[in-house]
Amino acid sequence: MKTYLGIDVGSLTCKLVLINEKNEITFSSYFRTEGNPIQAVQKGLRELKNKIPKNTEILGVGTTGSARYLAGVITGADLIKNEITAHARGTTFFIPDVKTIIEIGGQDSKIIILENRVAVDFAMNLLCAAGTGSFLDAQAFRMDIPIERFGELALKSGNPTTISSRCTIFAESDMIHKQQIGHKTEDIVAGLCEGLARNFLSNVAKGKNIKPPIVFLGGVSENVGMRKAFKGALNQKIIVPKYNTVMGAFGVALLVKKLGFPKSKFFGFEISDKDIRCTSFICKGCPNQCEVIEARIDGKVIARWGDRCGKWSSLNL
Amino acid sequence: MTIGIPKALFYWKEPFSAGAHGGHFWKTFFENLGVEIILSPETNKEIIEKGVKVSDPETCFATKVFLGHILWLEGKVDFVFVPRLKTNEEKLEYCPKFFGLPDLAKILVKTPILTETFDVRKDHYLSTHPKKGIPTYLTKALWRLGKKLGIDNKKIKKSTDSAFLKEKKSREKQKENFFRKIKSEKQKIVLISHPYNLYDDYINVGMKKKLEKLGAEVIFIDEVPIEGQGTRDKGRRLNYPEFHWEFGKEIMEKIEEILKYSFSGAIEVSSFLCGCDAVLKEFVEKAFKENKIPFLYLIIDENTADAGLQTRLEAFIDTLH
Repeated sequence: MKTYLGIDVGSLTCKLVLINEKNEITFSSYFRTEGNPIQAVQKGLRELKNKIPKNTEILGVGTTGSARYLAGVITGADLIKNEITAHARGTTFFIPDVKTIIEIGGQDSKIIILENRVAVDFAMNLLCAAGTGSFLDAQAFRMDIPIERFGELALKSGNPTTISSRCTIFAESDMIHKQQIGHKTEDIVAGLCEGLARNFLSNVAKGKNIKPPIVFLGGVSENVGMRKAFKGALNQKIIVPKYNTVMGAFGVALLVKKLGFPKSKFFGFEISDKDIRCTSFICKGCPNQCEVIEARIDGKVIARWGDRCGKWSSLNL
Repeated sequence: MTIGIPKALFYWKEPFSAGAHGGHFWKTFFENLGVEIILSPETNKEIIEKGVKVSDPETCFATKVFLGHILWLEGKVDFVFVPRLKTNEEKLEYCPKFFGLPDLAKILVKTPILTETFDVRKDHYLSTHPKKGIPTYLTKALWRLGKKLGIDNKKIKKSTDSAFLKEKKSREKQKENFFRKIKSEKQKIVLISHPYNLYDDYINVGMKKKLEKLGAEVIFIDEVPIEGQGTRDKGRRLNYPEFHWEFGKEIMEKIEEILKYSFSGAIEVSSFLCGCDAVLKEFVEKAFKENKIPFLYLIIDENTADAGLQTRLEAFIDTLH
């Protein structure tokens, strides 16, 4: 079986999607990075290897997500693509006439505007991660609610309370205050969802022409409370397609397949068992003192990056 | 006697700088007066860290960088030169932060600050020298500056002339360069920002290099040549208010001009906490959107993550195809 692999390594989670020649998803996984993107990629590949038939051939590997460069270097990826393009490509496969994509992940939130299956405009959160998955995660933990149940609880609310949404810090103190004066947990949770949707629309999506069909993706799209909040705020139907959390990985798999490389540079599943390490050092070449990252597989340097001038990253290894 | 010049903010401002090809106005002027000059180096991490440490948190990033340059010069020179730029020849004001730069510098370092005010309202415009193209208010202010150093009239006049002549030549070179770039077959991206963000690679996180790596031809809005005052106001198509800021008028006029050519997209780069940009941004964005040109807005500060910026630039280039 001929296949193409897409890997999306984000700030909180890691996603793997394997597609066949007919663009069908034959494998997908979604799990937490747990602060270690290298181990996450290794773990993902190990699981993939165990679940696919022996005769599977990987003809191309693409990486995306905020750790796409690192993931690409350690797997020998054929394509390293930004997550905007990857998500747009994946979504248009399922919903060709999509006009708006809302994607909220662990630390990034973005809106993509499409025309005729092509992304024509986009925006990402600037300087602030308010309203992203990490914040919801922290609040769920603080309120002792499993994150998977957070959305469900929000739906139970008949009277969502207003939570300040401008800033995560203020939102949290507002929530504590509402708890202290006796609001019900579900009303606070629902209020938080509404606040975050409002924050997204007035900051990230400010000035964007939001037209249906609207597709909601990313880890936060799993949260039914957030789906309802966007539906209410936009007064539009919100589509959450299948594979909503792995769309970026799917998109980059489609993109690498289209490139049609004769032979993949993929290092193979063996890298799951290799010792991959990144170390950093401060270059003393000039006052910039760049932090240079060095990736090694079994002790051998495979790539360096992080320098402004290119002195280290352009070295032939 | 040695004078230190910080390579930040005013260093890149018109009428004293012609961008990448010039910017040596002050160096030429002082050296012709017979003064030794020490320029602070290109912005680097050390300078930024120094600047950020002493800055009020509400200050814009570009000003923090400027203070870093002043601190770098401290103790290395007899005077640090910080002019007070107030109004330009069209009676339009510079950014209000520019008004107070000499005062800020004075309380920051022990090295004495050499300053002079450039304000057409104070010195009256009178006329522009027909041949040299130097407005009289500038000649007057530069004369006072020279006098502070005890230089004779003739020498000041000569230095003024040669410094302006050099900038004039740089501007012509820049113009040639612009017309070469605008004819390029590559994807042309116009970068909009203040000159001190555009010409400082550390501040803008090497954006020009990053875009060139992605296959683009980068044109700085500052490089767009515009004809003299008067002809400019005729036939204005874009809708924006009469700014009392020189950069507001200049940037909008240059956008108006660049819209006459074909290019793929525009990126506006703002220094975090720049109050002026908060107002200007809406008009810049509108100008491109109304003309159906893809537009991206980026904010930079001392914490700007390279990865996040790279993602945005890559995605932007992808949307242009």
